[in-house]
Amino acid sequence: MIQIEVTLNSKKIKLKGHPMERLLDSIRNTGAIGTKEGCGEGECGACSILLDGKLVNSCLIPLAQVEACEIITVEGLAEGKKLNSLQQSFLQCGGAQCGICTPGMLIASTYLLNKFPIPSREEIKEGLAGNFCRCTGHTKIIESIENLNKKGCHYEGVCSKL
Amino acid sequence: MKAYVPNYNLICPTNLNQALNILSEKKVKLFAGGTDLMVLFETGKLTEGEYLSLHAISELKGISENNNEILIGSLTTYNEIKESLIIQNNFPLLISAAKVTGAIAIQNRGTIGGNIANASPAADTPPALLCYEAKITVKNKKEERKIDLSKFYLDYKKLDLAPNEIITCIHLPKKKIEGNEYSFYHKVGTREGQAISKVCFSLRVIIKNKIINYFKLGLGSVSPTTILAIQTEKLMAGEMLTKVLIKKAQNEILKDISPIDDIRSSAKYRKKITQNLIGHYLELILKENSYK
Ligand SMILES: Cc1cc2nc3c(=O)[nH]c(=O)nc-3n(C[C@H](O)[C@H](O)[C@H](O)COP(=O)(O)OP(=O)(O)OC[C@H]3O[C@@H](n4cnc5c(N)ncnc54)[C@H](O)[C@@H]3O)c2cc1C
Ligand code: FES
Ligand code: FES
Repeated sequence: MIQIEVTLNSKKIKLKGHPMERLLDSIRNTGAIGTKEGCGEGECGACSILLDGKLVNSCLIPLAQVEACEIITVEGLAEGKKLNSLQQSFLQCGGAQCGICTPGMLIASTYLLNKFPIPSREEIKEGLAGNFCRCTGHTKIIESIENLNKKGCHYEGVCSKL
Repeated sequence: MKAYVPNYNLICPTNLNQALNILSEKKVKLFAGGTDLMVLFETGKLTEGEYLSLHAISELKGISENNNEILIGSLTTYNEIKESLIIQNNFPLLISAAKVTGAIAIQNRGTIGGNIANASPAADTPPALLCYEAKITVKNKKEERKIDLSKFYLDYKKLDLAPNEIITCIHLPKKKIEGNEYSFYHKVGTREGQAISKVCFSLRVIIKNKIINYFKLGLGSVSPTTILAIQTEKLMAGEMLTKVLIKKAQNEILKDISPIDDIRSSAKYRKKITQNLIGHYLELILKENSYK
């Protein structure tokens, strides 16, 4: 067993577990169960998180590799109790149905918007190519991001290492 | 999750010497970005035991250059390759390969050393690297060797790599060959990014005064390993590019490849596709050069 320190959604915490334990499980074991498991094989993006500002699949990362890293999950997006503009846009546009893919979609969109504040449809598609939704189809999710552009509200970064 | 987690260990040395020492003392397997290994882990197919993580070894990261070559640390990710200006300006096939490997989350984590060492016949970067005559450095505690990537793959999943060796660096020579350079990278798969290639095609041709001054064709998923099409290269080098030669190349390529039927595609389809791709891209080059 190992114990390492990470910053999870701006809070310094200790994670304890086996070195090869999947980061996905370590995060969920802290009670932050927003991050979901879909495939467990890097294909679906349900487990997407930002690790030191980079979009990664937490199902593919062993605990021992994240010592001193900064992790952002879907729980880190809202500003206190208020949903951020991206989350509100998903609500308005019907970008979520059952919600399983939504945390991953929001995290992948956050990464995308940090790179391209006003992304084109092509950029959105490429940015979300590793995230699957089995409910709404992808159109409403893409529209949720485009809607943000129309309102001209640029997304503000949440990770200090971005 | 099919694996029993407590039966695995992952040690994380923070410099290359430490890692090489550990490798010389006990039986551990290497672990880089984990994007191949964690899939095996999840499905219960990863051999139990002790692994050595390379992730914290900064000597293995990043892209640099000297007078003769560009050096890519084995731990460099696809994303870092995509964003590198040196690579963008000199090795477009490698950029194309990095772009079609997985989706963004895979590109942020998967490493070029892992792609080479995983030895999949369907790996997407070796066909591009082979077109640039890449070499790799492998090190153990006592010595290091620099070998041609084209000689590194011995057979299906068999590498010229000892259990105590680490791939530390990939070298791309800055060779200037006279003429106009054409390069085409084409991955045939069900979806470009996430899917495993049915055929991966990487072509680099340099034409001077209508003569083929340089010809390299890297291929994936059509042989037990990723390969260079050596027979076809012999046929083409030094010749004038014509329609007749293109037809000959389409036949010659069958001597270079030995595809199989598997769940992704059939041998027949792979042969046909490879022939069609050669025809298509050489015709494009021919067209460009018939106006000059
Ligand atoms: C969803 C998904 C999509 C993918 N899509 C593609 C794709 O389109 N094209 C493609 O080619 N691949 C693809 N892959 C496979 C994988 O991402 C790549 O092969 C990646 O480059 C592996 O690198 P890694 O660092 O993650 O390797 P790891 O999983 O850490 O290791 C892979 C192997 O390489 C060995 N190894 C790693 N580094 C070294 C080193 N420095 N020296 C010696 N041995 C070493 C390890 O021991 C292991 O055997 C995909 C994977 C997933 C999960
Ligand atoms: S659960 Fe990690 S990508 Fe599907
Ligand atoms: S909302 Fe159900 S999977 Fe996307």
